[in-house]
Amino acid sequence: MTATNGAVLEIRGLGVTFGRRRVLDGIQLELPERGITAILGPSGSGKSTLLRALNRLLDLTPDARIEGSVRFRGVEVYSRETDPDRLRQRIGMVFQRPVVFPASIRANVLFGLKHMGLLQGRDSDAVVRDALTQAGLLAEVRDRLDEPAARLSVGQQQRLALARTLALEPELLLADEPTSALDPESAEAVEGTLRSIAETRSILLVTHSREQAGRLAARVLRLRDGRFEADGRARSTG
Amino acid sequence: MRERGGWRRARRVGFEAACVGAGVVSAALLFAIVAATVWNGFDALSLEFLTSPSAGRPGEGGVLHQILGTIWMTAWAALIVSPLALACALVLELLADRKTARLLRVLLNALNAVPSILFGIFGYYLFVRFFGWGKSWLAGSILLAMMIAPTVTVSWADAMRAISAGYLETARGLGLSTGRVALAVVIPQSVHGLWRGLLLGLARAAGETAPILFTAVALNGVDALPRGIVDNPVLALPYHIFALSQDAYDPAAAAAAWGAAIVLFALVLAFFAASLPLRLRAHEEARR
Ligand SMILES: Nc1ncnc2c1ncn2[C@@H]1O[C@H](COP(=O)(O)OP(=O)(O)OP(=O)(O)O)[C@@H](O)[C@H]1O
Ligand SMILES: [Mg+2]
Repeated sequence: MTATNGAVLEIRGLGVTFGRRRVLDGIQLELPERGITAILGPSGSGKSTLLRALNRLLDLTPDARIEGSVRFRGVEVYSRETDPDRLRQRIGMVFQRPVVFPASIRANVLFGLKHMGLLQGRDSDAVVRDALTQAGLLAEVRDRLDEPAARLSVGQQQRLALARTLALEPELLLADEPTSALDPESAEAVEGTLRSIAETRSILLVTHSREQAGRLAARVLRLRDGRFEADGRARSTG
Repeated sequence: MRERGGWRRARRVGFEAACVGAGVVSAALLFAIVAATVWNGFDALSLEFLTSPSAGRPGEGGVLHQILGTIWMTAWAALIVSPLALACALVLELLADRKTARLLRVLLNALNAVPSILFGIFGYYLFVRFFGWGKSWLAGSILLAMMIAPTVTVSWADAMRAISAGYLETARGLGLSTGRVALAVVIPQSVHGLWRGLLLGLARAAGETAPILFTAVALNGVDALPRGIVDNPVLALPYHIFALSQDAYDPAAAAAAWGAAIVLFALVLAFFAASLPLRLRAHEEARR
């Protein structure tokens, strides 16, 4: 656990091309140990691609080529020694549209732990309760943990997806427009959740809402055509 | 513009007419086959025909052992083809890059195009002669499995492909390895499609004669179910029909052949019918 100069993640000269098309170019970024860093940018500017490059989800896209360096806790993410599956477990990801598996709420929270054999000898009820509390969903679903997750509202599903990721205790969270599919109330609930997670961990948040970035993030970056625009450093939000 | 629209409409109408026509022709053909079979075989059909073994002269007795033998061989073909097709389908959908996957599909289609009599000849030289099994039901099951393997594999791969990309991405994003994704997401989410593909394959296997002709079946003189592998053929409906048809100058044999054909048809139809509700559910899954 050697963090170089207090950064959990360091990106140097990151570039991504799909076939012959360059989507990201010369990306530099450091993420602090805790707090929210927000990325704004027009559609197609490469925001999702950037997140996918960080946990190597982009490896699964056949024609994506990646260059540059990404260091997670001082270790090169793209070195041969790094196990991408273990990396993805440590760097959690929440997607733009919530995905719940056709199973109970409980099974959804435990999905990752169960299928990676990490549930042995653990109190699964406690894990479920803890993850749902962190995701700000427990109060709403306490009495129906065994009901199908598909019955939840979209906003609740997004928080369930968050709980499923948090159950794996990721050290860094990548959130790709987590509120864009949600109504205002649900969005507010998810924002509250992100804020409290960020007290102990770092979150890289992609959002299309300048207001949201302003409300949540200690630092806001703007991506345009695959490059960061002038860095709006340290916009304190108290 | 007017002309264009008119032309387009005419083309659409023509296309629809062609579709309806093709549908009518296939339905009529199916109806004719069913009608001829039922018409000719109905009199031979009785509870006794279904529940007693064949006896003595061709056409006497029933088809119980033929039913059991066909089910036995088909069931083992299912057991043999399943792990094989599962491995191939998973490789196709999860592991192979696009080029390899395309090549694999070409190979599977080629295998699918092999005439079934060639499986029979190949099986004869491999199992009967080279392995010295004589006539063996297991050779029949293996050959039937090989014959339906491409169809089953391709339909399984398609069922797996229909899984929402979101599930796969989510599971990978949580850190599940390819193998764990297969177990946790791919197989459970496509299970109805897998059953359906298997049943359709088995419906085809149950009716095949050529691959088992010189490798796995006998006309009579064997027990209901085999007691070993070497020199243990079974009786089977398609071969029974084939053999009786050769004696069709004898009205009793002809009637029994048509009766057995109804039974075989009902068996195949049962596989097909069993797959129908799964088809609906597989479609629902794909839509999610
Ligand atoms: N698998 C792929 N193959 C080819 N091009 C891709 C692929 N994925 C993304 N792209 C392209 O890369 C560019 C960046 O896409 P990306 O999804 O990162 O944008 P985004 O900033 O997240 O957009 P949005 O705000 O709409 O989500 C787009 O032009 C997109 O078409
Ligand atoms: Mg995006």
